[in-house]
Amino acid sequence: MKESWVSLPTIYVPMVGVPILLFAYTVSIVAGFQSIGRILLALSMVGLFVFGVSGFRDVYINHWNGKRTRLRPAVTINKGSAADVTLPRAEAKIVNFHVNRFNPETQRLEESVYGVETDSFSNVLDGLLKIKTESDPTLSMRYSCRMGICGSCGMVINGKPSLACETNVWKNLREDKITVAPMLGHPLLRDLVTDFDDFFERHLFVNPYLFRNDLVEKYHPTVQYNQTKEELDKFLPFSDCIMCGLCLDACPVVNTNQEFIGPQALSQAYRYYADSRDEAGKTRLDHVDLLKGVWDCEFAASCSDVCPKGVDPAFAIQLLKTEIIKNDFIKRKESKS
Amino acid sequence: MENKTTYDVRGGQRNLKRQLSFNRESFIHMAFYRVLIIVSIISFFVFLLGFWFAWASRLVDYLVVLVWILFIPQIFAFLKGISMVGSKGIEFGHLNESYASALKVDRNILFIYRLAPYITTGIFVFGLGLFILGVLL
Amino acid sequence: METLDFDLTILGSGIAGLTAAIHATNASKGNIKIAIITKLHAMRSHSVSAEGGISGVLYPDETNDSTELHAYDTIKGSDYLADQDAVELLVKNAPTEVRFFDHIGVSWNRDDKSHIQQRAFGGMSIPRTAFAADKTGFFMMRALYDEVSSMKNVSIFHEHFAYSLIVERKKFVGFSVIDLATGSSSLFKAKTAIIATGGASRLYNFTTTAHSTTGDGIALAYKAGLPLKDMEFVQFHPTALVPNGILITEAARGEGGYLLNSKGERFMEKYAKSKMELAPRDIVSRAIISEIKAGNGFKHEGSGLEYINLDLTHLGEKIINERLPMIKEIAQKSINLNPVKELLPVRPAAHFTMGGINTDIFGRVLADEEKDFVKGLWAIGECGCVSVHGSNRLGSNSLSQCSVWGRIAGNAVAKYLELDKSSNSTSNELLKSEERKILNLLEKKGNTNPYFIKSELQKTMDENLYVYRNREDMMRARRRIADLKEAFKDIYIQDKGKIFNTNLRDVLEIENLLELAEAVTACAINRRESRGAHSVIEHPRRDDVNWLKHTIIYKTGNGTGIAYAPVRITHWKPEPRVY
Repeated sequence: MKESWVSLPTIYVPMVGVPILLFAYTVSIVAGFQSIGRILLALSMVGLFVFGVSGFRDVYINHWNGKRTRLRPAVTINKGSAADVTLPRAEAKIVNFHVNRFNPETQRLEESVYGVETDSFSNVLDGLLKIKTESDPTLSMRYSCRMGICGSCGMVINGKPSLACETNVWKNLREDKITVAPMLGHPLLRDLVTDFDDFFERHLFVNPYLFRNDLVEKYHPTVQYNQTKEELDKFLPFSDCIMCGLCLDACPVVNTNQEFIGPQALSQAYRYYADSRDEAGKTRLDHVDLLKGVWDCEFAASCSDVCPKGVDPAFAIQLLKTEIIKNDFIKRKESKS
Repeated sequence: MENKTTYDVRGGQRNLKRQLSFNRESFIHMAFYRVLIIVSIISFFVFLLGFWFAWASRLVDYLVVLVWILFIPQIFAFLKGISMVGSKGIEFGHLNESYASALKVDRNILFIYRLAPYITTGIFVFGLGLFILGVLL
Repeated sequence: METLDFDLTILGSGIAGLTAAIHATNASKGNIKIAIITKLHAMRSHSVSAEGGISGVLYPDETNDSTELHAYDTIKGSDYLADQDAVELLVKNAPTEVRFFDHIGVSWNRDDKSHIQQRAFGGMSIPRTAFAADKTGFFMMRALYDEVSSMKNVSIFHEHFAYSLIVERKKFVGFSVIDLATGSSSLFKAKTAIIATGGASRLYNFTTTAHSTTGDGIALAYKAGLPLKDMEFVQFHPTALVPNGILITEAARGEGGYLLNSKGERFMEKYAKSKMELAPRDIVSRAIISEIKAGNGFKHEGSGLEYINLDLTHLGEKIINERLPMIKEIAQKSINLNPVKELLPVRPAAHFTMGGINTDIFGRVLADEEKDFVKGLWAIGECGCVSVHGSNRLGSNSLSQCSVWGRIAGNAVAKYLELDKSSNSTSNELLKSEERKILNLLEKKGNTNPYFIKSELQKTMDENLYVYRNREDMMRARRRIADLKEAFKDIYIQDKGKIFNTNLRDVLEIENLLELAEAVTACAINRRESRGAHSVIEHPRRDDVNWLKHTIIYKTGNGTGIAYAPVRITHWKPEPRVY
């Protein structure tokens, strides 16, 4: 069965309905219509019950299916500081980097503090590379293009998932320091490095490639597929995804429920659905019309908040939801006539 | 090939508190929702008890206040979502600035999408005041 | 050490490597087992940073363009060192490739007729560069990755670093590969291999390329005794952002940007009157350095680098938002300047390796100058030297090159595997000695910090083998590199961990860089003329009588051996290169 037929009446309808009923109940009591008020209260309580049970299934049951591992509290192992570094250049400044490194042997985060010489152009990646090349070569992290397009250097900086290469040190100082930690929304490997196999699998779940029937033309092209500017605009921002994994790390649902395939994959589902060249059509909608697909999304919009490229996955998911609902209505109309 | 040894800390509801450090609004929205689910189910049963016990029907009124408060962030997020889809992602969205500024939309009516969630949520909060003054007291 | 068997191993997951995987799969109807080995995640290869676009004559009738004209531009741009049959192959197939990328989902910018839009580029006489904003490489990479990951016969090995190429009796055997996530090494044995690891611009510190662009594939081939071609030609991109070297695409000038010196003059008038800012990159780079030397530059406060200005302010916000959004984003995020309102500080930075592994016109790796092949081994993209770019590449030709030869090599491999049913056998000693290599490195008890060697090497290259070169500098570089090679024997790897040991990976990269630096310097000292990107003060002129030939360099017991290969000329006779 399609999930939209379950989630819509049990979550989304009560989400709007119960507040309206409660409001109406209040108004009728204030206006003196006691018996109408009592009926409205009864209705809203039934609505609440349906809402509660369905929400319980969404939030708690799925979560119980996953296994839970607790990360033990961080310990400080190496307390260096700014005082260790001497003689900065005139325009430079020493900043303390508090690096929370995941130690695979003890399975806990260990905080090391390094004093790093920075200038007004330094970003966090520069700082970490300076630590690696000058004071501690054992520090592990991912990095490559240093211009915010490869998506390697996702990490949690001052509590917010960010790309290290796009985070200026001086502008993001918090209490005169920078705190760096790995993304806990991905399985941890070592130090700031997290495992992405699970992330790539989620991406593949939505069949993220252009589906075409004309295979000969596809591999031996002779003409371009025509596409107007308006058609291009429909999917353009969602094609900017650099697969850095920050949205997954920020998503509160992914962090608490491993089933949910997450904002990155869903935004790519919409990207291919909205592409006028794609021939998979509505089957893409059916493919994500699942509880672990679009309907587990609670619209916290944290994914969009941290997305470094302005992909706005939360928007893409809401668009998918509306497309699914629209599609349902069209189908129902067609089957009636 | 050797398998990777990874350590997965996802799954527990306590992970929600990670939101606090960068998106407080989302934390409130998430935490309230989780409490609301439990409170909703309890309210329903207390309401049923109200047919037999007077204290229970008095308790329902207090639970309604709680439910009402817990609903505020849900309503606000829901309306934001609708506004966002309606305004093509410009209001309450985080689309790429270069793209959004060039997007063809009627910019004269955008303020409706911007204000609607605030106004509607405001009315809902006003309703809570009305409930406390008119029904509870 | 474990052995894994494949029909085809592809080293590198950039545009060339992934295109090859797609076409090999398609040509064999999915019947060959392919392994893609990449030291990053496959979608993060440096091809993502390609900005400007891909060249190809798409609409010859509407734009009065022709493939002959594209070929002529490319050859003139190469300062006549390009092999002209290869160039003809490139320009003939490039339009097909642009359309292929349309078919797998690249979001090309479109004009009002729903056609793919094209923009002007340096050295091109007609706008023929198809583009997707200024993230062309990124969109192509994403489309390719998505396409490849849907193929059942392709296994992608993310974050696996190949540290040696094994060739026995002029036949490819396999790669020794270390898995970064577990620290275990294994032998990837295969009947065929395609090397597509890109260039080596990280020889320089001031470069537009990623930290990972260390030319590992070129170095592997060089260390395995295979010849490299034309290594002296390193392209310097005229407009890299000061102070970090991030690329500001040539498309910024293609869309109409100006280069201004400290007097506010468009100085390109003096150097290339007809093409102005859109002259080929070597000419613009030399012009910028000449201006700076003449005292018409600015000095950057933070880094002390000298620069000139790139002016995009007259383009208007709309054009910049639509066609150069990434430039705007980068300038704002990294140096806090908005190109809509402010001038950008730029100077030339190492960008592209014109040279590479010596291959024939179809990308097959050669074991000598011209004739003898290594069976079952191809090298494509930036790391192979077909040579279509000669001594200077034209902007936007590289993406076409990667995809054209990706297709050629992919199809060729499928055909080769149909005929070749033999299998390789490997001895246990080989496996042991390969595994030993890594252990030896880890057990080393030296005193030198490998990162010190890397930064010294980059400094040497930055100072001595930049846009203008002179004999004294180059000789000094050679001595310094020899010293650093000596110092490398005494390195110490502090990280002994098995999981994600980036310290070890960096040491393997630094070893590769040292080898390549030696090759680049030797070739540069050897070529006594100025041609394209190689500009020597003592020999300011092009010398077609003595030097219209490719340099081939081998690794010999203790140093380098140099040979030559002729340039293949079909229709276009060398003539003075004036713009």
